[in-house]
Amino acid sequence: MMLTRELTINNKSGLHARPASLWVQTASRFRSNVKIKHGNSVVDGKSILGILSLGLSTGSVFELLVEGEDETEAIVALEKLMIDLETQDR
Amino acid sequence: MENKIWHGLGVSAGHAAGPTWYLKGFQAETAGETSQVSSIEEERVRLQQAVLRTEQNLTGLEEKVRAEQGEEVAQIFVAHKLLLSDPSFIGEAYQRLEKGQLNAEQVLREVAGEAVQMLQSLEDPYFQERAVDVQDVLGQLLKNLQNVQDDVSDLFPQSGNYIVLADELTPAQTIALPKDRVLGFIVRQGGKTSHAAILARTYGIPALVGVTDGWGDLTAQKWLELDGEEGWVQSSAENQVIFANTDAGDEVISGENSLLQGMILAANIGSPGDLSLVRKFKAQGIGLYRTEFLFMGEELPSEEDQLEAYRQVIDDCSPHLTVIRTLDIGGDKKAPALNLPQEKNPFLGVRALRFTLRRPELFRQQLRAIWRASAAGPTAVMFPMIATPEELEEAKENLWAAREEVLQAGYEIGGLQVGMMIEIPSAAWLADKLASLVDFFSIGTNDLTQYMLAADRENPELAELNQPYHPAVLGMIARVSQASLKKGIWTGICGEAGGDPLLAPFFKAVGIKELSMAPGSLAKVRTALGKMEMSLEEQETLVKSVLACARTSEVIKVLQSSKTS
Repeated sequence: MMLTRELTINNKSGLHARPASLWVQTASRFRSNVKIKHGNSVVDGKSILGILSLGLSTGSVFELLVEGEDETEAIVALEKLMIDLETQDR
Repeated sequence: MENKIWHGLGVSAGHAAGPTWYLKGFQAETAGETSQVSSIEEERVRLQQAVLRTEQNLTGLEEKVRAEQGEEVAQIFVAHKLLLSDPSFIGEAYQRLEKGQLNAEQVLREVAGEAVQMLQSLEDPYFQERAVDVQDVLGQLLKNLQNVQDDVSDLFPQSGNYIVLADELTPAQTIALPKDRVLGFIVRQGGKTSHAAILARTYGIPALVGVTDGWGDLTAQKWLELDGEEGWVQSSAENQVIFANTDAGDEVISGENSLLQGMILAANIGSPGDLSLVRKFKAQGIGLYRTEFLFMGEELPSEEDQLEAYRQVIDDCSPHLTVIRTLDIGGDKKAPALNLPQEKNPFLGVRALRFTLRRPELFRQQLRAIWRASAAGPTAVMFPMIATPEELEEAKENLWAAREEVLQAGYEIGGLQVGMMIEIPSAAWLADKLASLVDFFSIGTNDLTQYMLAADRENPELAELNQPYHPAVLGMIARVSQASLKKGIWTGICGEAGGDPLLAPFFKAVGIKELSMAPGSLAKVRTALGKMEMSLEEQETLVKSVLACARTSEVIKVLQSSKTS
């Protein structure tokens, strides 16, 4: 089964250096496949280049697709990361 | 003669003039172009080894830089390492190798070229600048594939001060340059958030980036003058040398009640190479000399190697005190030559003193080197990771035995203050008992925080929990400091919190005598303390209000309001 979530980037710097690094580090801790869909592009959510290529900035909406044995844990951790990034801005 | 002038983006304030030195980039375009594909298998192994070596280099830089320049700079290397494990970069390169038509160099150039093109096509200038990261990592990989040794520190002239011109300046190159002889940086590429800009600010060197118009003409100049604030560079008469960084906090004139009175502001360093920064930012001594970098290479240092490094630092800092911490290895710091076993919980494992007490020959050798170096000026030794008085006593026994050995061998020694780190909660709690066994305490706030809150400081998900502002951590620090004052010894702070201007007034108020920090933080802490006048009563109120808090957020509010009042 594949889990999907629609997420919005709410932190002020978008998925820039440190946020993007944190995302990749978090995603890489899980075995599941992690994909990010934005517009017509789908990229590997464990690839820093892939994520940068989407040019996500504040307000961008993307779809997160996770599939694999630890998909639930992975999606929870990534959602939490997005919230943490947002609260760290304040 | 009329002066020619060029414009760019001023990214690090200051004014400089002097002779120029042009750093020509590594020829990444042609490396390995002519070599044949021997076999797919062989190319695969070559690539694997190059990736591994590059990763090791990056890890070494990351650790060194995190300790000396702080997290912001260390993140540069974290991002570079992510590129090395990126499936669409290195992963893709491996896949293309399998076709057997290209060698490892060509494959890397191909995938890196595509990544650079992709990044440069994005609108946001921030993303465009990340193309430099890809080129940097590519350059390192190609050098490792070709076994090229082009250490910038070897290419840079052996003497004299220079303005460095570069098409682009990678973080590794910037770190390798002898910063005490760099008057300024002029870089063709890059913007405000480029790594060169961040590093120039960290080192307090005037810098100008993004000088695209007339670059060729500029690099032909032998002598230049630049302003890193206004963003210009002009040709200059070949006789003036200026170096003026405007950000050393020199303008602070402190009044009688200023918090700066009776507070020593010292620097944390990792090697004698950092001494130029110590001088530049006017540190009053070294509050933490981390010796582990000596041990992180392929080979262990001899007693003489250690002696030379320690003596150089002590001699340079005299008449100020140099506090040398004995080997703190394990935990997050690796040392290939020591062959440390893998542990399940390295931060709670055999690290620092726990390790050296198990390797008495190594420990004694270091202590002998410290005793011998102590003849060069005021010296202190301090032991890391102490949980019990017994450990401290055993360490001191080794220290006295090493002293005997040194004296028997006929070497001269000086006086030595003996101190311990307070970073384990059990030792912090026993501060009043331990105080009678040492001359000083030095609080390592990073570890004290991670151990008190049971939050791994390497885990980014726990960053919010891992805060030295937590009232329990600050309460413990106050308790340790006051216990030490009662026993007539002094306490310093040497963790990252020591360089935090927001916490400095609180530390002063609880009786801390020395704040030791990354050299780049000295100016802002000096300015923060020098500007503040606080009576003893007001200091007491500040401590009471902080210790009355239950939440980190409340503490931060209290500290912020004391700053503005």
